[in-house]
Amino acid sequence: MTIAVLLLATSVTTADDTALLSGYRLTNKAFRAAAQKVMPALVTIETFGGVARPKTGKRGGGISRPGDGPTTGLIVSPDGWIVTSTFNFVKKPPIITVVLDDDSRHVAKLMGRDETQRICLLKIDGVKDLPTANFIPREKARVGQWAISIGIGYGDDDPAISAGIISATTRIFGKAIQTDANISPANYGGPLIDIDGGVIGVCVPLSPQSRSALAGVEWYDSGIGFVVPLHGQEKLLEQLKTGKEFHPGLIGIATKTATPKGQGAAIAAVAPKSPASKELKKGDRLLQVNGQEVIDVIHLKTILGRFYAGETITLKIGRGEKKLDIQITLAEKVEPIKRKKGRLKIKKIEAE
Amino acid sequence: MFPSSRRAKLLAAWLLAVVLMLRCGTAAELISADQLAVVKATEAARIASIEKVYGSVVAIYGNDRQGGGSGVLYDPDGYALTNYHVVNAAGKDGWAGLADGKLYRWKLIGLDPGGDVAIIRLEGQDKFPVAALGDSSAVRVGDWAMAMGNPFVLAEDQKPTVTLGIVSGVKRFQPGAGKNMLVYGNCIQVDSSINPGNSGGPLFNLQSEVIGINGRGSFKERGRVNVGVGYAISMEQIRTFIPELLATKIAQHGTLDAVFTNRIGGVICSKINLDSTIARLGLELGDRLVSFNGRKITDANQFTNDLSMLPAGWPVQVGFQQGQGTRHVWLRLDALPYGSTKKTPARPKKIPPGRQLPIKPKMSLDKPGVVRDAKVNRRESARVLRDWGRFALGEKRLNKVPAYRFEEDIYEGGKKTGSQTVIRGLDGRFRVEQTSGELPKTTGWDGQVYWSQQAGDKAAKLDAAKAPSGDHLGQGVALGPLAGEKAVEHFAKIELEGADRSQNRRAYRLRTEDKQGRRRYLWFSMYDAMGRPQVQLLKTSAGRDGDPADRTMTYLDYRDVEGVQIPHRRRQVQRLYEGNMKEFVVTKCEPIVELAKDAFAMPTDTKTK
Amino acid sequence: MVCSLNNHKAKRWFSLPAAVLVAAVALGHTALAAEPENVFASAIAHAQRRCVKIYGAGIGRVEGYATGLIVSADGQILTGQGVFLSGTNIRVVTPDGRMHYAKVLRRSTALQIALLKIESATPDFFEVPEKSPVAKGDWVLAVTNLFKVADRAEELSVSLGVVSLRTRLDARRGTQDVPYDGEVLITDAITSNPGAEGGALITIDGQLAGMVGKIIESKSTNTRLNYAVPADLLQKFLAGVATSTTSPKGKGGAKLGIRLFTLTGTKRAPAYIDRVLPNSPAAKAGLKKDDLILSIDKEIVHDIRGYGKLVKLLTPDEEITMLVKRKREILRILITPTGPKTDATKK
Repeated sequence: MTIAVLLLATSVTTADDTALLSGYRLTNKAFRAAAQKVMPALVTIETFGGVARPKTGKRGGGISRPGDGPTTGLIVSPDGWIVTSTFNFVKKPPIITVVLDDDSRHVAKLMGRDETQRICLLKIDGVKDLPTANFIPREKARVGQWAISIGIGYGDDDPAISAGIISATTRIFGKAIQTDANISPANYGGPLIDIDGGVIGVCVPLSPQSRSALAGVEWYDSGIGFVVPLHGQEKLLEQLKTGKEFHPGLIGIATKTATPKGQGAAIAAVAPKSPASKELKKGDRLLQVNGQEVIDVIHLKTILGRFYAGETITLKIGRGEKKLDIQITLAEKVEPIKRKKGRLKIKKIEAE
Repeated sequence: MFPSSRRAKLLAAWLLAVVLMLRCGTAAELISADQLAVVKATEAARIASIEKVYGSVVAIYGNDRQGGGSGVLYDPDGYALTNYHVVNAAGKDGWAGLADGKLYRWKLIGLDPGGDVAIIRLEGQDKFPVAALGDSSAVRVGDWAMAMGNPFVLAEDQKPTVTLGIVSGVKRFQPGAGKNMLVYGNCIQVDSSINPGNSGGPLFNLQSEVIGINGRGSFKERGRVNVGVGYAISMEQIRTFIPELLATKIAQHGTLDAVFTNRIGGVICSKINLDSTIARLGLELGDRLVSFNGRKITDANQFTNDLSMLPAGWPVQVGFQQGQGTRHVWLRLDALPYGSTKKTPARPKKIPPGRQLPIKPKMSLDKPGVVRDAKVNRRESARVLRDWGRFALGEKRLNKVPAYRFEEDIYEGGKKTGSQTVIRGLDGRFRVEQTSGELPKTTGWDGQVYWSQQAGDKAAKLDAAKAPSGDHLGQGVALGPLAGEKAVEHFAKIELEGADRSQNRRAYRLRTEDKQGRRRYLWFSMYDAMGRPQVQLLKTSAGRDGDPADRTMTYLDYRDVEGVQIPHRRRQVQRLYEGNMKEFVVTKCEPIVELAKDAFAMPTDTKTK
Repeated sequence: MVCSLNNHKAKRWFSLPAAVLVAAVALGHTALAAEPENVFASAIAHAQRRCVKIYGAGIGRVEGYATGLIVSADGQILTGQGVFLSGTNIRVVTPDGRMHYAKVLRRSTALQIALLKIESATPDFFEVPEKSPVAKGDWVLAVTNLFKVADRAEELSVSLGVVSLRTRLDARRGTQDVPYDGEVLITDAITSNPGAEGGALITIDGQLAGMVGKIIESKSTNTRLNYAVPADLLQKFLAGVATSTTSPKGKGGAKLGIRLFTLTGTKRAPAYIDRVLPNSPAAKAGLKKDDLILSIDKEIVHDIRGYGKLVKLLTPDEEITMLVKRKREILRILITPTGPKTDATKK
């Protein structure tokens, strides 16, 4: 009761000034409380065996090879489905175990994966009523809000946290939310949470420049990090549960870099036996993809990067004077286009 | 009632502790709802401060849309700040992306290779979203700092990346590359994540003001990936160079062409070019530098840092000790040259860590300091006069009052020496009745003829050369018709020369010639005391440096007279330090609605009024 | 006990101002008058007066400069155990810009730190606390001379982060190149930079939380680790108390009686049991063929090679806990290894 009297008797400074002052000091408390909220859904993943130095193309800048320590995952359904990052299995380990918040250890099976988002699902058996991670809708994310990454990759029972903000909300072909909290192998597969403890997304390595297995890892702890929000992706998760694999969809074209403005992106060449080879010709101008206007060649790349292999897209093209609507089903692989003057850059082909 | 035994007391304490813990709720609740609300209030404030300027951040590309840098719009007409090395890679024009997702054309306006700054202009909107320029001299280590831009060209929809950190250091020096290029002489160091692609973008404080332009970082074994050390050019430095860039020049930095070193006994001149301005003014080897540009100098680094922020031609005072005495001289800084761009540079040596990568200028730097585009420069002059018109005339836009009457007191050497009544027409005609000295004197200009009449004598024409020409034109400028965008047409020639200082304020300096071929220099302020844009006429003169014959007049103490801002204080000054020779203080100013036809005509009778 | 005194009072009129005041009172501060946005300023100023710049010899690509902490009034300075100490001239620049020559008083290999001395009075020094003043999630400021940006009397660079985790960085785990033995504070501020070693990690009210460590990689993640030696361990070193907390390594010679399945030819294969020797400790403990060894005493057995390394560190007659996977189950097995001598003398 004495405290109550004290509070009543004292005058308070303006809410604004004092809020700024105290707010950030209380922020540390809020970080801890938020991390605590998601702890029950956090799991430790251990792998046994596998290829020590996996072939991953260029050295994943900054790390010689994936480490040997444990990695992080999040429980997404009470019967034992766990989401984590495909990065954690780059070594293709034959044995995977999962340790829950109650310290129980379970053998896990790797099921489906989505290579465009670098996430995959694990299943453990013999469990029920597990606490699950609470994913918040992507639309709620605001540039500038607090974002805390959590992971157990340093090997302790206690997870490590890093605090930053949300830097952008529509990155990597629109799939990822960007943060400047530390994102690294220490927390790939783990959560990025908001100040309320809601999960904004799963920490993953990503890069718009390359789709090789370690692409994006070179940006670890650099203030450039990505997470993929799972809210709204229930259909995808159901497919991953069946073991399905999702890969980026390729079309099989090379574009002319200098297309006059207002004319979309002009095709310079078409890969043989590709989805494009049946319907598209050299010289065609891609004007719209699924109703979205194509500003230029660079913009086209960012639109096409959103689709999966097997997805069908509708293109509006300009051929000479005519405008045509064409449907194309994207493929997982296309042959590289060889030109007389020399090979075109591989990355252009991969993205398109 | 209760046993007073120790055990009972312990039990009571234990019970109380249990009760308190229970009241604290479950272990999971580490923060109360109200405390969390306080945290979220700060978070919301930061989110709002980002939203306020989000639209002003520019993603800068070349014409082929490859690679890129960043920039920030600061003027609604589409002017944006960026790094020189960003436009050097991109070219004279290209594409710019804004947070609305659209691409706009941009054109290069001016470059400062020495300080790594450039101004570009976007086209395609009547009024672009802008960010306010902040005061970087108020920045302290530990302040929050937000970088916005397009690192690694991640902004596929042109929405910028925002990163948060703190100011790690101020007045930092990062050496340049090539010859006098990309010197970050007095920069702000931050730990907000800055990566390739952030270059040219804004560094904001939490009040949404731009305190610097990001441009460099320290990198080491991890390649060009942020390791917590980024550098931004301070806004204080950039503001000084803006007129140089708007003038479409390749701006040069200032130098004394003398080297000062820390020695026992002080900051000593260890090298000097005998042809430099300061050598001709008397500085010698071994002299001790005491002050520079108003600041006491105790360390050679301090001098280098301060100097790096100033353009060639900037007026400074230098104090140095020579023998027994201390001398103070005023001079305009000499220009630091750039290397010739005709030679291709030799294979770059291994770069020590933290050093800037070498830069190959795409644009020739062989003619720095010269207006490159007369058409754009004229447009910039028009804009200065337009903004001056906005200040002076406000909503009125046009001053219909034909003339003003001023009652003025005259001061010399701090003492009142007389008074006068001035009738000033907006077209520059005037009539002044002085009452200083024993006999009153009247002078005037009727638009064609200067005349003067001593009391009791016949009025006589004055030789134009003797006439106070600087005065009358200046007053004309001050009163209206020469304010506003159309004012450029009053001049036969007009050019924005660049940056200068007057009344210790940053200024635009314009060089004009009227239809009679008379040259006048005009200085207009850039900012008010709060650092917000404000264009006020500061000074007029027939020459640049205030030689005694130049009739230089400064204008102060602007006050509203029925909607028009009129200076209520004028000073006849001379030299770079604007020494006050004679001051006119207006005690009364009123508009004259009905002007007599012969108000300015030379009187024909011998009697005074 | 701030946490729920508000919540349990149902009355809503306490809300924001009350919470704020309670927080302020609880934290022991009254509202500051000036610049509420930069409350780090006084903690930073306090630390700047107590840190030094150190210059010494470099070796190859490793830089010869670092930072140091003044820890006594008579010129004692704590810094990292680095190559910059290896030359004959160790130069220390105090906050006033003056240069002093330093000598090494003593070192700690376990903490990879060294104590230097300069012949000068240093009235401003860090009080090194006995108890760590930080918890996970607290703001920390790193005050260092990374990249030797600061020269002479210029102020050191300051970086902000939070405490990510306090954990062991243990030589025995074999997780890093550095023979560090003890706990560290991992932070998300990037301190792993040349010249930062020996810098101060402080709390926002100016207390010393730790000393910035060396540039190393975590072998758990193979990424750069930003860590600091915790203040309480620094204090023990200064007080002359031993800091090593590891139990001595195993005597070796332990035998379990397990033969692993090695037909795959690679030592990187998981550690499957091929044979359990009769009457061996493994047999007695109930291990079977095809069991997969997951961990020994909480150390993960990644593969055959890892198993071999761990077994070498065991001590005969000391019981260990082994986790094994048998089909889809995970079992916990207690097992006591025998040694070459004990075999013969075992009852």
